[in-house]
Amino acid sequence: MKKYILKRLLMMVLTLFIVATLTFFLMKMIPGSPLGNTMKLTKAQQLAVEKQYGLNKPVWQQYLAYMGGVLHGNFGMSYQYNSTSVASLIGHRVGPSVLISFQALVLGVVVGIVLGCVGALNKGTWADAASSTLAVIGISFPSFILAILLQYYLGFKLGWFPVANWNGFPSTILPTVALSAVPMAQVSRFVRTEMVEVLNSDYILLAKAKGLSVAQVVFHHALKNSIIPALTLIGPLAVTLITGSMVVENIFSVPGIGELFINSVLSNDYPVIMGLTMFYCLLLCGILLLTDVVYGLVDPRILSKEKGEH
Amino acid sequence: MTKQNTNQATADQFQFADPSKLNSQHDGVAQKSLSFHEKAWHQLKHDHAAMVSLVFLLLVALFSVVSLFWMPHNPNAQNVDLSNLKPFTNGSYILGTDGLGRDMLSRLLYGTRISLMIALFATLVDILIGVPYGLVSGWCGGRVDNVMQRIIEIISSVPELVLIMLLLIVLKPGMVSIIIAIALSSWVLMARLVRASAMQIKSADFVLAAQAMGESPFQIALHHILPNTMGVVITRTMFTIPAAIFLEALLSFIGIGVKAPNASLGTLLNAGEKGFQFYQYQLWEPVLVLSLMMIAFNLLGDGLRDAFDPNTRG
Amino acid sequence: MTEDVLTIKHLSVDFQTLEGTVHAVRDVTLKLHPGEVLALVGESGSGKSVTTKTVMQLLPKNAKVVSGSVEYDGRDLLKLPEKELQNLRGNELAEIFQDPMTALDPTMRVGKQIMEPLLQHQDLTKDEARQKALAIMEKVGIVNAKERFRNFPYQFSGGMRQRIVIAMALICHPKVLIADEPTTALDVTIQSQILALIKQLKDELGTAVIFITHDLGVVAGIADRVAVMYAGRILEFGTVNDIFYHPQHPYTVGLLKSTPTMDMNEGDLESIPGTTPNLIDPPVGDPFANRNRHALNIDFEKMPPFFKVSDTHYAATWLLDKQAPKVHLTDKLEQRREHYAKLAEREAQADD
Repeated sequence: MKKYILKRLLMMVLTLFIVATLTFFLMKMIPGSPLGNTMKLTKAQQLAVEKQYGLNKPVWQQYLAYMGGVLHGNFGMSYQYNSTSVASLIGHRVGPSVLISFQALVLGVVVGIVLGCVGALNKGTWADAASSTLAVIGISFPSFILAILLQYYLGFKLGWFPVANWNGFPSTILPTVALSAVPMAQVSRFVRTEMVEVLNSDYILLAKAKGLSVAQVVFHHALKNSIIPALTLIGPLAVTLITGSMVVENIFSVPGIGELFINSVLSNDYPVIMGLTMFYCLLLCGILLLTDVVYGLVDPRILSKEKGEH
Repeated sequence: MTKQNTNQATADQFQFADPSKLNSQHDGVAQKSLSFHEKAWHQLKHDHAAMVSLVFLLLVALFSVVSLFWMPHNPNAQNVDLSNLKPFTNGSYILGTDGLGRDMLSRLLYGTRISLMIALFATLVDILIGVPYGLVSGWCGGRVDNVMQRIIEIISSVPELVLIMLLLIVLKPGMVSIIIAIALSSWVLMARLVRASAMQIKSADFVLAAQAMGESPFQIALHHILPNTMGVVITRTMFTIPAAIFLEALLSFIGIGVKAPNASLGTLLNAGEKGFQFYQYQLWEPVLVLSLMMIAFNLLGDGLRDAFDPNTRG
Repeated sequence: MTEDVLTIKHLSVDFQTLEGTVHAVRDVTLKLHPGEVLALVGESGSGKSVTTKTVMQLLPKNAKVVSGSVEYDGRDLLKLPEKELQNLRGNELAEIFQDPMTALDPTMRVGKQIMEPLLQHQDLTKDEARQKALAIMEKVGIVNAKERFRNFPYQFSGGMRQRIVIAMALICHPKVLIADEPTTALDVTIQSQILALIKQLKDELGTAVIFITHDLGVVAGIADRVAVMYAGRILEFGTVNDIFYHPQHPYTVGLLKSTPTMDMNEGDLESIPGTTPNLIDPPVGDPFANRNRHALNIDFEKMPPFFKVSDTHYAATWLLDKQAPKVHLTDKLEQRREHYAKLAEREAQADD
């Protein structure tokens, strides 16, 4: 196990290195000066700024300097937020993003499991139809539109929730709800499929043959066996949350890294874009590694059912 | 359980039956054997949600094609006198007009067509990269597979939307860039699915048989493996298209996708959101079109997956 | 005759499927005597398992009992409320499943799974239950029971898993045990061990067993009585000797002829031509008629009643009617009889 984790960590470092290199050269491929679009500067000013950001050196020197910085956790300075380092920018912004993502994850997973179980246990009835419909809508309905609608109707019209300013728990509610729709739908569909399969298995029939009640069969045998495989969902869920948080944060003006990323893209703030790309990459790799480790701890042979990727 | 009275029985009844009766009655009755794809189609036909979705999507496609040749108005023709008309208030502008007096219906038709085109081309590119990649990776196995999988791992370690935005910054803005950006970030999953499917089929008896018959690896891959991964590919496509529609809408909504004067569902959403407080229909109309299309694609995809997956078939 | 433990009367069970209603069990009547092993023999799809699943009231949702009753302990199981059924299941009525690889919960330690019926049905502390579970684990032949108690199913081989399933079934000392092809999924060498185990335990506990199998070879070793099922109906029943030495129904004869024995030449083995009938639209008369070389016209028109052959032996075939022509079904079986007689002798000696 230790060897496996070590191997994965090495692979992760390699991945980050490649991603950093690719993003760096990708950014260098953009025609024109990154500063040209946003600020109207005189030639002299432009040269001064270029010197400040080290843009006057040859590309390979810039690359070495950048990678050297990255090794020390220094991702350069933001163009847009004057004289703020990318690292401290991300550091300040990461809190709200993690908060709403985590809340959305908990909400989505809990509601998703309940909906999935209700659907599977009442297969073929109206309850199943209702939970399946909800899941399809959750998967299909774009989260940013949900965010707009929630913001307008619940926030603006009814005034139940704060709309724009980021201030305490109430202002996290609507972003959380908007963000949780897709994970909820993903979890619910997954758990329903698993549970239907588990309920048809011999060991559930045997549990019934032992004289257990329906509730005992579900809670002692079916639930655990349907939920453990859902660990494989964590990777896709992380991607979902990262994607979702960008737009949702943008709409609700949450001061998080998602909003920062979109703003940086819109204003060509390359150092921030590069830094955030690395950060997202690190985050995703870390989550995937963690999932695999947890999956390994719950002995893989217990979960020996071969699963095709969905 | 006692002996019954059988006196009424005629003597003839106790003669041996004509041998022709043997094995004729009730033997293999109604056991038409259907091919795999026929069975899948048969199953799909009974999936009402999927069939309704299919009809809806065909209609959308039909409207999009028709809109190439005819639309109620020029989607870009501005008419300031007739701006912000509510739906169903003017016979000529059934779905109303936007802030610049452009016909909403025409803009919707146009926008839907652009969105669909982007999604279809992106999916096509996705298939053209993903299927061969997955096929080679799964069929060759060994070191080739290992290297190809590492590449996929690296690509998928960057979240999809981040990758798309990075590509969009570098590429020249425009529809082609959006198509490329979406396709380049989504083919990975297609490749993985095809690889898994190819590896599964590789060990099937009919492939071993083909090998024994002396068919070349290339022939086997083309004639045996590829056709059998089609179920996976078709199903995955039904999920790639709505994902691409969603991504396009998202990008255009944020403002880094399709730019004016072109219209897509995303730009319509963007425009609709700005005036949402006052003219709600301007957002709701593209929202309904977009979400109905998304739901229809997802339902059809679910139906196809169930139809092609022998495990879920009863 | 002593009081029967279990009486199934005129049981009919239908399944709703996409293709139509499948009449899986049709008018089945069976009695289980105390302490005996009743073998239920037939091809797959003949309704054996459906019959016993009805006894346990564990039919899938699309199944429906159309008529009949299952009497146990003076009560009709088909009319019992779910709560009382739960009290009987795993306690007085137990079942061993066919495939031990899928019958155990993969995420629960086997010890806990074995204790489950005990904790459910008896007022025991966890520790007492643990002691009893360990005892029965040792009894079914699991060495190092104490260590194995905390293992997960994947850590056991197929044969060991089946021993665990048997331990679970027998831990509450049931009155009736249903063994649904308990050895079919196992290696041949393990099969005989498991059979011997079931036989030994049922003798110790005095449990009556319904033993489902498609393999007449297995029947000879374990059963007291045999009922032959085909297309949802019972065609013949009697003691092991009745069925093996004096089979009356052409289907029983066909089954016997198609069962291989060790010292047979290949040419001696006969298969039954044709396929089993479609149970969505089952034949009116004797369901075996269309595969029966000796079929009479009446076989296609009317289901034969049970004709009494002896006090213990009944068969549903028109060939036993007074008006029917005489047929000699069993020529090749003569050699077999001798063979089985020898086998029985050998086994008797082995038992001593």
